[in-house]
Amino acid sequence: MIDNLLLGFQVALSAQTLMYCFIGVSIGMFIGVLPGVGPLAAISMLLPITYYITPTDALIMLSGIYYGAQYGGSVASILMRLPGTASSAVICLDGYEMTRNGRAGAALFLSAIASFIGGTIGIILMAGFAPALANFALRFGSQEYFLLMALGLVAASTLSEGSAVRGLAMVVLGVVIGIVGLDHTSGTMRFVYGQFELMDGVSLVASAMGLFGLSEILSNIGGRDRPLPTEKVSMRTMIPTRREFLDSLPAIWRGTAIGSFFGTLPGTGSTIASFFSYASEKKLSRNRARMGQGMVEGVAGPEAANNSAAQTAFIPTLTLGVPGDAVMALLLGAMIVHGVNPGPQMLQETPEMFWGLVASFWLGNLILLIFNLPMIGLWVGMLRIPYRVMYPAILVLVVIGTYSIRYSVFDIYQLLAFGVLGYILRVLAFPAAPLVLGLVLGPLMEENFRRSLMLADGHFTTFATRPISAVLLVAIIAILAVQIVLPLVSWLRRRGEAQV
Amino acid sequence: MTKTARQRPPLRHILTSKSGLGALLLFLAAAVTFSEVAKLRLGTASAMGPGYFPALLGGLFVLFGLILAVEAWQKPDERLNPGPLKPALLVMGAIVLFALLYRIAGGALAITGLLVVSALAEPNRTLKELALLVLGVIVFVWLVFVLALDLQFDMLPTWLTR
Repeated sequence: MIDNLLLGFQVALSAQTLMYCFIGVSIGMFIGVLPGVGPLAAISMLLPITYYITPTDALIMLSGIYYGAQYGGSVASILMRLPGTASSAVICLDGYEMTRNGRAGAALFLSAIASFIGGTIGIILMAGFAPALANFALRFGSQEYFLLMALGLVAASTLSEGSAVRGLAMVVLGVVIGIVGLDHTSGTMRFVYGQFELMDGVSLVASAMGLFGLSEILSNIGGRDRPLPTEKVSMRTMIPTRREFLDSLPAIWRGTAIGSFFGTLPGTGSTIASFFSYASEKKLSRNRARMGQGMVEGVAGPEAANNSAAQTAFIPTLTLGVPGDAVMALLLGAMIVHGVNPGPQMLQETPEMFWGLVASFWLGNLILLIFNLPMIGLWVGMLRIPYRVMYPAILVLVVIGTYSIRYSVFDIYQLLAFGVLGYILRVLAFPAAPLVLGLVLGPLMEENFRRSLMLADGHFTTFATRPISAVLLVAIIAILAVQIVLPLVSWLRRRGEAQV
Repeated sequence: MTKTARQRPPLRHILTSKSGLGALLLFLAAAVTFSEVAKLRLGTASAMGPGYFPALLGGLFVLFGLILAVEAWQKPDERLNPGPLKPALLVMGAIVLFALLYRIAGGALAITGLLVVSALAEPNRTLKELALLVLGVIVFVWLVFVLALDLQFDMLPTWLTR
């Protein structure tokens, strides 16, 4: 363990790697502050650049965006009552009240501390549990992998937001789009329609940028400009009172425990963790009666929760190769593009990559803790750039970024097609995130599905008779039952009563 | 009066509700999938052909489409609200313009076209601001993509430089 960590820090502390870590967390922090641009859009837009650097540096930078955004997300919530990311929405409640009470500085300071503690414990859990989980997963066969991916997809698309059926439908659409191109087993082209550029499948970058970057612009354009921040934060107001500090500590521990748990589960992640933490503070904290009036527990607890969840979310992604949400799916896709096979073998085949990531996460958290507060003024200043100047510039970056991956004008049309698709899906209230999950996992799922049934001589019972896969199958059925069948039954019953 | 005679919204409402159109979208996806599957060999479960897995997916599209259709039929949810269409169309057009201009007129002009057309989507800006934006973005792209990252992005048309 110590040896592994030393190896990790050796990788992460090299000047170049440290620079990419710094770039990643800074961008993450900024887009976290910026309402409307999430880590998903930012990672999509930076994917093209990573084709020119080593896979380890690429992953370190992209991951930095993800957990950096968790730090930044609370800034806009506290200062402007605008959640920068979904997971910091709940921080608006007490965070903005603290700003109105003149305690904005203390809220920002304690949220940085809470983030750091939550993140650090999440990383320790990752270093401790990932190897054991990977060892366990080495026993998995195709059946287990297929069901594990199916479980991840079902959980992520039904537990997160909106209607379960819509989420599942988008997963299926993603899988279909994912298998476009050459089918390697049979050597047949599928869904190519004579476009030889589609032989290798649709471009991950074009689809991610189209679905999250371009469609965002297409839907927001012509709307109102966002409000400008007004609050000035001085360094002096950042020092919390003794009381505030003591009140926030238990909230941080509770939030970290909640976040670490939800982070590892597929489909839950940091948003659910922070909401759950806020709910538990409302029950457990000493000031529960005054929650919502600017209590620091309402900031520290959810902040610790969403940051620990952001770190533990890497555990299933890196050890099993099964991403829990769309951001993790993008990272997984980036790894595959770079020729790294995420999964239990990764720890053995490329230990320097895994432990380098772990070490860089902690360094990234440290950078965020140190630079977070001094940079807040800068980020808030950048928020003053009006949207009508931002979006054309973003558009240019998105288009050139897509083009530059293989110098293909065809990919620009792919980008446009996915942008339009994302726009239509948004208008029809379909979530786009499950689509990317399906797109990345689609080819892997088909391969494992095929192999499972080939090995089992065509008997579908193979998924139910192996012990681990039976457990997974039960979990999938349980989620589907709770998410789809139960609402249906209660609806039928209500209808039955109405008829009488 | 019986409850079963409860008023049904007109079919037009059902079809233009979000779930109604969503169901149509899924049926369309199913149709595209099955028309492709028809050209592929299915194989058997123990030796799957290229069409086997897509056929299952097409079936799922039909299933989810039916569920949404029932939802739309029972309680048509909100009507469609696509927001202002003109700005979105302008942005789409700007991207097509970039793709067309890049080969014949080079990157600098293509960027200018993309910026100017997409800027039309949000009015009330001055000509000066737009000119500064175009200049700033071209310099930025040149610095970052051409100089720093060394990408093959031709600012001038290739027929002029070669």
